[in-house]
Amino acid sequence: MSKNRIIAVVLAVLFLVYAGSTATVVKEGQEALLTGEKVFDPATVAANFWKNDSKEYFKNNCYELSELIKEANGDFVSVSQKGHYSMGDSGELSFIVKGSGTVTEVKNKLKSGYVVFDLDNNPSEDIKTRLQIGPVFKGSAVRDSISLISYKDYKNQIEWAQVSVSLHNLILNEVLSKIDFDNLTGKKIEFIGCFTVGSGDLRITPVELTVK
Amino acid sequence: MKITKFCASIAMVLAASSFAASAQAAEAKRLTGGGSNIMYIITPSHSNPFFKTEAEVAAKTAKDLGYEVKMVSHDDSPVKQSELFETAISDKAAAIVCDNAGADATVAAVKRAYDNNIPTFLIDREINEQGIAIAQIVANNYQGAKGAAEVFVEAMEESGEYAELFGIDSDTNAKTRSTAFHEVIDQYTDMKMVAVQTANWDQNLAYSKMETILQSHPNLKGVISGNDNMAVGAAAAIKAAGKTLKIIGVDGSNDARDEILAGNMTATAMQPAALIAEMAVKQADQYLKKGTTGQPEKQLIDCIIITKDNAKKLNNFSLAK
Repeated sequence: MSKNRIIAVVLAVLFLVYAGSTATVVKEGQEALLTGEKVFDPATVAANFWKNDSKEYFKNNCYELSELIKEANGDFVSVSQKGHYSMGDSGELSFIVKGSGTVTEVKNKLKSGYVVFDLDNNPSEDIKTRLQIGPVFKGSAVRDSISLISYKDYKNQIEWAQVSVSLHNLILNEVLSKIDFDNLTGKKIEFIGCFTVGSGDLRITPVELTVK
Repeated sequence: MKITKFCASIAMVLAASSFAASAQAAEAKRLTGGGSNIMYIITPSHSNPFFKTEAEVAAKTAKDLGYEVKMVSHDDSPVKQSELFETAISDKAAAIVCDNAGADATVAAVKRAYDNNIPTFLIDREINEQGIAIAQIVANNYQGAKGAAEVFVEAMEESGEYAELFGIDSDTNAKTRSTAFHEVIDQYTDMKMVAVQTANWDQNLAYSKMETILQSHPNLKGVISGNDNMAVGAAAAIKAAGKTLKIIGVDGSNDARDEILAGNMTATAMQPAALIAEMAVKQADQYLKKGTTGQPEKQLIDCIIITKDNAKKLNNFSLAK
């Protein structure tokens, strides 16, 4: 073997070693990791959050509802630092809250069903409270309360909306399906939930609900 | 000699890899404008008061900030829109503010402006790509349409036949709004959609389509419409037929407001068109001066649901406090 050949072989081997060490092997179905083009699945985004982060997140970021009402004194915008705006520092304002109370009315025959309850220690006679129990949920208070999930990570409004739909499905299946709504009137409840500031009753979507 | 060759080949490999790395880093380049002081404002036809308002507010804001303004319409044609972008490029536009003619079709036009150093600020409708427009400031159509649908279902008492008037097929908002309507309504098994017609966002077309729908569906109880123009057209046809139906739209036009106050329409969702147009021009100005808008590219602005309770306060796409 001539010197030239030896050098050629050495160069070829070096090139292969270099290529082998720098090339990225992409498994089938994993291309998105490399290209950044996400194959979108809102159910997975919601389910991952629900499974891995939700319990701790809601617990760490919630406020006692009766105290929040007292502090807001009729104007929730004045305590906006405790909530989360749907768009940076504007848009709709949502809060994560916890509390307890006594159920006075159950509307579980409606599609957009709800439970009316007397909030313990409610400092305001003007504020009436209800929990949404589905299967149709109004608004998107839960999604909009979670600062870990952001619109800018989604391709368009439809994908963004699907995250909210998926969260509502999880709430329906994992929180509300265990509750016996037919026999709830008069019972004591404890909840953690989210609401968006608006007119009318305070409409809370529960993420945790216990009947005492 | 041999060693030099070897070193040279290693050097080439290293050079090639560092070139690749630098190409990636160049993505977020700052656009400084084409060189002139002209701000292009490209929107759909002003025959729809929504687009008229957003174009006029954008033009006024730009003039107040010292820009020369060219206000043009693409009439919802992606081809015409591309031509207008080319004109803006040859006019050396400082920036383009655009309410675009299609989420996919617009990507190439915005890219052309980007490659010619002209920043684009999208209003009202988003495109299916990020990183080429500087801002996409969009009304939350989904939230607005969903809110209107919630009012609709209540007004319909959760049951009955209804028809849908759909916007221009290529327009993202047509699909977004329809999807949001149905997210709510489709969960009510007693609500039955008996007809769906495309009326191209147009009032007159909606009138004639509604006449036909009413003839074949005498039990019709409600209408969901992708925008206010079509809702107002439908309301007129329904009134002419001597009926009163539950009707919802999206936009928040003064015409819809008047129909709601007169009891001929149930609700609409007001898109803050004036606010969005003003925000886009101000962000364009700031970007040209400082190289950043200080905001994320995608910005979603919530709609306000208008019913007879607050309709009086609505004027030119903003709500009095």
